[in-house]
Formats: sequence, C-alpha cells, structure tokens
Amino acid sequence: MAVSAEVAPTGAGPGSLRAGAAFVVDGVLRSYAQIVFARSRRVGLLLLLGTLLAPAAGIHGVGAALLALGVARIFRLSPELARSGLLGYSSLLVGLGAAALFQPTVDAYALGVLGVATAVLMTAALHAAMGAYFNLPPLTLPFLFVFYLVVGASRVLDVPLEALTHARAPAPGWMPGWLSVYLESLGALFFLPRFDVGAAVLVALALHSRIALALSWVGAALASLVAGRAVLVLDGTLPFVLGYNFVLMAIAVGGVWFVPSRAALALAIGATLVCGMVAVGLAPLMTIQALPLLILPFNLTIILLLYAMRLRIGDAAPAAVDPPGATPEENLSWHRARAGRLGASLQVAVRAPFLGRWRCTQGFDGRYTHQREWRHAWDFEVADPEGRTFRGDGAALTDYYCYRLPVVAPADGSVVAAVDHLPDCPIGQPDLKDNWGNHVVLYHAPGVYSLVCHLAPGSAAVRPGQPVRRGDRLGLCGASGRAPMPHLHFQLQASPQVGAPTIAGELHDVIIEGAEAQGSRRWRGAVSPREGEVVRNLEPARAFARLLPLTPGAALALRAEGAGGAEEALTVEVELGGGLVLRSLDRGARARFIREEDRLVFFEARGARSSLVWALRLALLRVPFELADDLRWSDRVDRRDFAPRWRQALLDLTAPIRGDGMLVIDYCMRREGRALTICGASRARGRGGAPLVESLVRLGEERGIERVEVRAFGREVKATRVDTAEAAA
Amino acid sequence: MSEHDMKTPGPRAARPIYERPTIVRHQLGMMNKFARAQAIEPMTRIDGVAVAELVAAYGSPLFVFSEAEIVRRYRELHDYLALRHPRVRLAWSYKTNYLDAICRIFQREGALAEVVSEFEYDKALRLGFRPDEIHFNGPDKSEEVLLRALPAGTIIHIDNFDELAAIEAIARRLKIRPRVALRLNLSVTGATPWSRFGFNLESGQARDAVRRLLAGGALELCGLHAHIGTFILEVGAYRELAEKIAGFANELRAELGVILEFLDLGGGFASHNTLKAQYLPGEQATPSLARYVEAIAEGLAALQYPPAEAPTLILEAGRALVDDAGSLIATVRANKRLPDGRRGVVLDAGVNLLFTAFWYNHDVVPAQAFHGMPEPTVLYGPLCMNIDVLREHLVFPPLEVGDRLVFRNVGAYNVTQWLQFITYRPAVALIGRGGQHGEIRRREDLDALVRYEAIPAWL
Repeated sequence: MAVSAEVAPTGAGPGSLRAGAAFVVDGVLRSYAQIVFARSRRVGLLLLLGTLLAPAAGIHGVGAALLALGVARIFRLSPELARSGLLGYSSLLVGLGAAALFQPTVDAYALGVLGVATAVLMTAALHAAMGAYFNLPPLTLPFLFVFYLVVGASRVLDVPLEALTHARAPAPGWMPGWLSVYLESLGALFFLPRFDVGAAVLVALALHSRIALALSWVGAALASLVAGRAVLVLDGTLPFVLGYNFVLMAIAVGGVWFVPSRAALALAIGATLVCGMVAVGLAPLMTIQALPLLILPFNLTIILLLYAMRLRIGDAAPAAVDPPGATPEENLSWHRARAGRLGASLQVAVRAPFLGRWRCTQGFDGRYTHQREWRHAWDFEVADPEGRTFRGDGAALTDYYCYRLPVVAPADGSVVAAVDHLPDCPIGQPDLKDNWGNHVVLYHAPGVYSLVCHLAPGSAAVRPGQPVRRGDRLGLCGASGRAPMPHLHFQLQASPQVGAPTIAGELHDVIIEGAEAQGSRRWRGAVSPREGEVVRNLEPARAFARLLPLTPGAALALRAEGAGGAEEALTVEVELGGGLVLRSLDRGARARFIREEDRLVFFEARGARSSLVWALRLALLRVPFELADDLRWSDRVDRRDFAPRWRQALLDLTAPIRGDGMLVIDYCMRREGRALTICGASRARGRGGAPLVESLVRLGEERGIERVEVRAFGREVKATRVDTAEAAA
Repeated sequence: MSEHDMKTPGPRAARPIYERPTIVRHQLGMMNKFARAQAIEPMTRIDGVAVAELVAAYGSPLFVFSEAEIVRRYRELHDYLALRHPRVRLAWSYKTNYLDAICRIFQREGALAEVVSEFEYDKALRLGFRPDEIHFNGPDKSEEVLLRALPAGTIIHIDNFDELAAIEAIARRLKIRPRVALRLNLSVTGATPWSRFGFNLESGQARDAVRRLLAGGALELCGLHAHIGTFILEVGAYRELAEKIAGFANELRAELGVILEFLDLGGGFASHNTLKAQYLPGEQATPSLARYVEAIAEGLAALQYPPAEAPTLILEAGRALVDDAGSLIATVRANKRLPDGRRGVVLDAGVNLLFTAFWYNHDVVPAQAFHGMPEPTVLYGPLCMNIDVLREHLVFPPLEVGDRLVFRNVGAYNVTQWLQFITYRPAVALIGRGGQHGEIRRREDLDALVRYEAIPAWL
C-alpha cells in the first residue's frame, strides 16, 4: 500500500471552489485506491462504491477519508501527498475498522475521530522518517499503530463491540467455498469480509491491473493451502486474515516493487509463505494481548524483504522497481523499454575508454586474471588486420600498437584517484607488487566507479577532484603494474578503492566487430565485449543535427495516407525531470526518449495508439548518429504494444509466468543523396513469411523527418511530412 | 663468379647475333653490406596474379593496381588516426589518381572527395559522391562551378580574398549560407614554405580573412585547411603544423566564438619511392604512416575543445595511399650497347607514362627469371625524344627482347599526369580480392584520339 507520492499538479488558485472540489475528490478516491497499490480515481471510486454495499460502514469510511483530508489541510501538510491519497489511506482504514468493530456510541465516535486524525499525523511522520532513513514507504504501519491504540483504549473505555458477524452477508449457496473465502478476504481489506464487497474489490483490482489480479489468485491459493494446514484455528477470521495478507504480499512482491516475471513470482510465493509464518507465529502472541493480526504480517514481511533485496550485488532476477510506477503493467513496460534494453549499468551509459578500434583480449571470467571478485573486467589491446598486437618481434614496449595511445573517460564524472609514478615493466616482467600500476579512478554515480589501469608513467592528464566529461583524456596506455605487455585494463566497481570488487556492467553504444559480426558492423546497445571482439565507440556525424532535429521545442506535422488522411501535429517537450517527450498535439499520445551526441533512444509510449507517436517511436526506436551503410543494429519492443486491448488484458494476466514477450527488430540505414532511410524488420515472421513488424523512416537534411511507414501485425500506417506553411494554409 | 654468370646470351635468344665484346666491371659491393642486396629478385606475380597473364589479357605496357594494397594502406592510416583523435575522415585527393575504379575503392572505404577543378568535381559527382562529401580546393574556381557547388552543399576551401568576395556575392544572391573553409599557409621546419595557396598565418593575413568572413555574415566558417608540401620525409613538420593550426583554432574559438567542424591538415606524406636527390632508398627513408600520425596527434593535443565538440581531423593523403598500390609492366623492345660501354634497353613505356620518372629513381625489377651478370644499364622509353629516360643508371641483369619489367610504386600521379604523346596510352587493370582482375581503363585507340579533331572545310 501507499506506493509513492505522485506529484500531481495542484490545479488553479487555492481560492477556487472547483480546485477545492477536485482536491477533495482526488484525495478521497485515491485514499481508497492506495489500499490496492493503485493511484487511479476510477479504481478508488469502484472501491468506495463497493464499501457502500454495507451502507453504514461505507459512509463511515467516506467520513474518515474526508476527515483525514480536513486534518491534513488544518495542519498544512503537503497538499500533493494528501491529494495522492498518501495521507488518507491509513485514516480510511482506521475509520472502516472502528465502524466494523464498535457500536455507534459517543465514545466510539470520539475514539474513531481521534484515531483518524492521529493516523494522518502518524502517516505524515512515518512517510518522512522511513523515507529519509530507510528509503521505504510507511505502508500501513500508521494504521496498525493507531488502530491497536484505539482497540486498547476502547477496552478501557468499555466501548460496546459490534458482533463480528454484523457485516457479513451470507455467500450464495452455489458459490464454492474457496471462491467465497477469496472474495471475503478481498472485502476484509476494507473490514467488510463479504462476498459482494469482495466482488467489487475484484472488479476494481481487475480495472487497476490484470497482473495484480493474477497475483491475487496466487496469494489466495497459498492462503487456502496454509489455512488448511494450520491446526490451531484461533478464530473464524484466520482464513480472511491470511487471505488479505497473502493477496497483498503476492501483488506487492510480484508486481509492485519488482518487475513482473517468473523470478518475481517465485519470490512472491516465497515471501507469501514467510508472511504466513509471521502470521501464524504472531497469532498466539497477539491472542494473549487480544489484539487482531490485521495487516501486521504483511507490513513486517514486506519491509524485511524490500530492505534485504536492496542489499543484493546485482539487480536482476527479479529486477527491482524503484520508484514503482502506477501499475504493475507500467512497471513491466518501463522495465522492458529501459532496463531490459539498456542493461545492468542503466544509470550510467559507459562508453569504451579509448579512441578507435581496440580488441578485447580478456573479458569477464577471463582465463588470466579476471576471476573471483575481479571477474567483471575487460582488457583491451590494439590489433592489426592479421590479429597481431605488435610489430616486429614484440620485445620492446614500443612494438605494441596500443602503447602510449590515449585512454579517455568512459562517461562523465569526477576523478577520485590518479596515480602515475610507477614505471612501465619490461615485456614479460609484470610488477606483481603494485599490480594495478598507474591508474585513474572515476566517480560516475552513487555506487558506480570506473577504473583504468596500467597507464604509462607520467601520463596522467587529470588530478583528483577534477570533473571530467566523457572522452576527456585521462592518460596514455602503458605497461605499469601487472602487465606482461602494454594493455588497458578497465572495470566498473561499486566503491572507489583501487582493487575493489568489480560489478557486472556493460559498454553502451559501441560497435562490435568480431567473429560474430562478420562482414557488417553491429551496433550494440549494451554489451560486455568478449575475448577476441573488436570494439569501438560510435563516430557521430554532425549531419544528424539536421537529419533528426528532435530537440526541445521542435514541431512537425505529418499527414497520414489513406481514406482518413488526417493530419497530426507533434512537438518535442521537456519534462519536469528533464527528460524529452515526443507529444502529439492532436491525439493525446506521448513517448519519452533520450538524445545524446551520439545516439537517440526511444522509451515507452503512452496514449492513443492511432497516433503517429507510436509509429515514429517504433521507426526511431534507437538511432546511432553514425552514417555507415553497413551498420546493423537491433532492439527490442514489447509485443503487447501491438495487441488489441482484450489481448493485452490476457497477456497481462499471464505476464508473471510468461517469459519476456519482446519482439526483436533488426535495423539498418541507407544513405540516398541527402536523405537517410532507416529500416526495421522484426525477426519474428507472420504466416505469410513477412516480418510481423516493419518500419521505415526517411530523414532529410533539409526537413528532418520526411516520411514514416510502419506495418505491424497487419495494420499499416504511412504518413508524410507536411510543411508548416502548408499546414497553416 | 660462378660459371653460368659468364654466359651472356640467354637460352631464349632466337638467333645469335654477334656483339663486340665489352669489358664490364664487376659490381661487388653496392652501397654497403646492409643496404640493398646485390641479388635482384624477379617479380613474376603482382598481388598473386602472373604478370604474363595480365599482359596476355590487357597488353603491354600496362598499369596494374592492387585493391588489397589500397585498402590496406587506407585502413592503416584511418585506424591509426582514429586511435588518437575522436573524429577522423580521409579525403581522397582526386588529382593523385582519379580513375573511377580507384576512387570507388576509397569511396567504399568511407573517404570524402577532395577536388581542385570543375572536371574533378564533376567526376566525383558522377561517381556518386554526395555534394557535401566533396571538398573543393585549389586556386581555380570559376563562377559557374561555384554557382553549382555552393547551393549543393559542397565545402569550398577559400584560397584568396577575391574568391571570398565572389562566394559571398553568390551566397547573397542565392540567399544561402554556405559552409566554407579557409586555406592557410604557414612555415614549418622541415618543409619549404608554400606561400602561394591560401592565407598566410604568420603575417596575420589568416586572422584578417577570418574576421573579414565573419564580418561579411554571409558564410559559415566550418573548417581550416593547410597543406605544407609534398613528399615530406620529416615527420616533425606535421607536429608543428598541427600545433599551429590547433593554436589558431583555439584562438578563433576563444576570441571569436568560432566552433570549427573540421581541421584539414592536407597530405604530403612520402610513399616508398626514392627521390633522385635522396641518399637512402625509399623503403628505408620513408617514415611509416604511424609516425606521421603520431606527430599529428601530438601536435593536435594542443587543441582546446571539449571531446563532444572536437573538430573532425581530415587528411588528404594521396600519394602515400595509392603510390605503392600501382605498378607499370613494360616490355623490352631492344638492347643496345652505348659508346661508354653501358647497356641501353629500349622499353615500350617511357616518361609519357611515368611522368614521375623526372623526380624519382623508380624501383624496377624483371618480371621473369634471368641469368647473367648485372651490368650498368640505361632504361629508355619509346619516344623519339632525348629526354625519354626512365632510369639513367642502374645495375641490372641482362634482358632479352620481349622480356617484361615491373616498375613498382607508380600508382600516384602517373595515370593523371601521363601524356598522350607519340603513342597511345595503355590499359589500366585492377586486381581485386581472390585474384580476380579487370580492366579499369581501356587502351586508347585512334578513334578516341581523333574524336575531338576537325579539319576545316577550306582544307
């Protein structure tokens, strides 16, 4: 619950009635939605209506949510947090819980109101504290603290309790037992363990996320398994308690904080069982205190799990989502559009730390020295067409092609260490004592450092503390340290010390010329070069500034061919976070992308699929700014993007158990006069033998994007550039 | 001396002819014991293809180019540069060799075209170079060709103030903003200054030209070009050239805010030929491409540009890339004894085809096994002109009528500067990968030569 704050724009001026109403509606509905990890108002509305099936309880819930907003307003707590429901959901639960537990007496109302107000303050406090110290959300801990206090206080005040069966509506006879337990446990999330409320929650959950729906089934199945095994049944509520704890656990692990995948599903199942142990283990303890378990097992388990999983060395299988998106589907598409394509070193795009073509002479898990903690490293040398790395007999340092060649910064950063006082070693006589030799360590991002070593003596061109840009010269390749011959050792590490354990990473946007890529050159998005492969960085052509002028503020209009022939205006905007977005002014679709001096990469697209934004994103999924007719590259796009809605829902339902449904698309470029055509074709083919997806985009030096054609799963889009003057006419 | 060395007439002589005996001094030591071996190795194959097969297919004399050698030299230079400078382009110097097939190889390898005349410009366009891949250089640019080249995006290297004014006028008339470069000349140690091309750096003329160009506001300055000379054996000259150009580029960036797209450092690298005045033979004296590149890179280290904006380094090396890839096969027409006792050999190819014979001592070898003792020899061409001498003096094994010789390292300037004089110009062949070969220029015939002639009616 309470995934993270979504910074919502605060509408018009504070005095506006309309803005006030929007604030209240958003705050209330999202408080409901947050309970199933959703942010959507529609989901919240469905949940609210569901609780109104038990009118008394439902109205108390709405009252609590409204009261929470009022408290947040009075105490001038963050309106963004309040509006996104993050301050209200615990209060809502306190209100629903009090309504379910107590008979409506004055004392009960007093307790409930105090509890709701306290929950708001507690949520705000825990949100800040847990965020700052542990980078974790407060989950429903505020609700638990406050509600246990309310229950304790009610005993002292002797508030009369409602009968436990009060809110129950008997399940119809035809309904199988497992289904009624499942629905009742969904309803129990709102203190209404009724099949009809549960059905409403189910619909809301299905609307929110099909992945979450499927995961809830997994949680429910496990709950019935565990409930059946629990010998000591404490009271009749155990099935529901296990039910909602397990359902939330499965959704949270399988889809909210981890990218939905088989690995995430396995983790979710394991975590759910741990949650079961916590629940059953806590039950006797709590019974002594006569306190209900409520959602405590889920809270304890998920905090433990999230914190532990952050300490992993590599973020994979399952990959974490940080911060989580609005839905598990969004998490999955975000991951597939970014991390799945850009590799493990997602946060820093590391280029090759040299100029020109070098050959990898030792890769990961190399046979010489890249082993154990230092297995994720690369050695590079320069080789001639015959594959030799030296001229003559190779007895002198200067015989080696790479000797004293420039070594450059692989990414922007700052210099942590620069050592260059060690001598070059004679050929075959490595220095085993100062084994790293002369080196430079760069800091790129938290937890991402790079090391280049074996530099030539006296060659360091940087000083510690100095900021560097990618491509700045760091020093010259040499043979200092443990280097039997001149070569460049390059590695990524999580800490700044020389000799720190290496971390797995990739080189981004390099050209690989190797045994695998015979004849033509392959551009690779993220790759760890293997021994024998020849690597170089892209050599960006300035013409791309004219060929692909997708820069902030750029505007273009395209007219689709065919009967409709509609014209669509597109523009490039800068997001608040600094990212670039291609947005349709007519169709409400947008796609994010990044543009650097040597490449452009499109990420996920959103909105109307009829928009040309989708076509352009596919045709320009990844563009190297190098002009070479023999350059080939491939990229991956989610099959889901092309499926009709109903099929997308089915795909989502099975997403946790399906492998990745990515479609590999091969791209090439062709220069024709002053125009450049980029063609893409999926490797997967349809029944007729034609690729499932084909794309073509023509770029001209005068006008940029001139034409785009996309044929995907039988649907065809062709559009031609319309000049702005023509468009205006 | 072994016994068979004394036998002068070879086994293939058709009919023994009496020749008056001559006393020939034995040439025991050549330059010294480490230099050229006394033994001359015959060259029976060029790039794996038999000389006899080539002559049978295309006749004699015959120019032969090796695609593999061109590609090897091109990639060597390009890759050496790319290891030291972030952006690199080679521009193929058309005048060095503008046969379409040769230019196509460079085009395929990714070269730009560097042309110095309307003829070369049209030839480059015809071959499919995009106009903006062509750098138009040289002192002679007519208004007609500028009117075509400027709107097409061809980059003009401006040579003088008159040309600057002419280009500005065209830009204003056509309402375009062409990207242009300025050619500079400067003085460096190790090369005789060429002050006739471009604007002088030391005198401040270059700075004036930049300020004038910027003040005009009609053109966009995107590059600087300097070419220090030809067949320069001193690599230090390039270090100095690169340093001076980098310094000038820094100055333009810092003081005038000019961000240059490229620096063109010309060419002038030596091939493996030997100049007539040179003491050591070319294969020993000529610096490797790597040494030229290192010198340039060391000089360019002075460039103060952020890496993402670094100007492209353009080189227009011509001779160093193509000279070693070309050979000329010639056939012996006759042997004769000169009054001073030397042997004279008349060949079917002379200075009409090997224009470069005026300044090089071309490396020449027999194309078949030979017998007999080397003796002082003069190689004459076929022209009925006293100047037609290919080698004035060399010690060469005996040859017979019909024997072939191979002149090596003749790929640069000869098939552009050759003369149609007295005889037809011969065929040019290219050896491709895997031993395939083909004609890239046919032998001239009478029709081709008289096509442009006319006899006025009154004759």
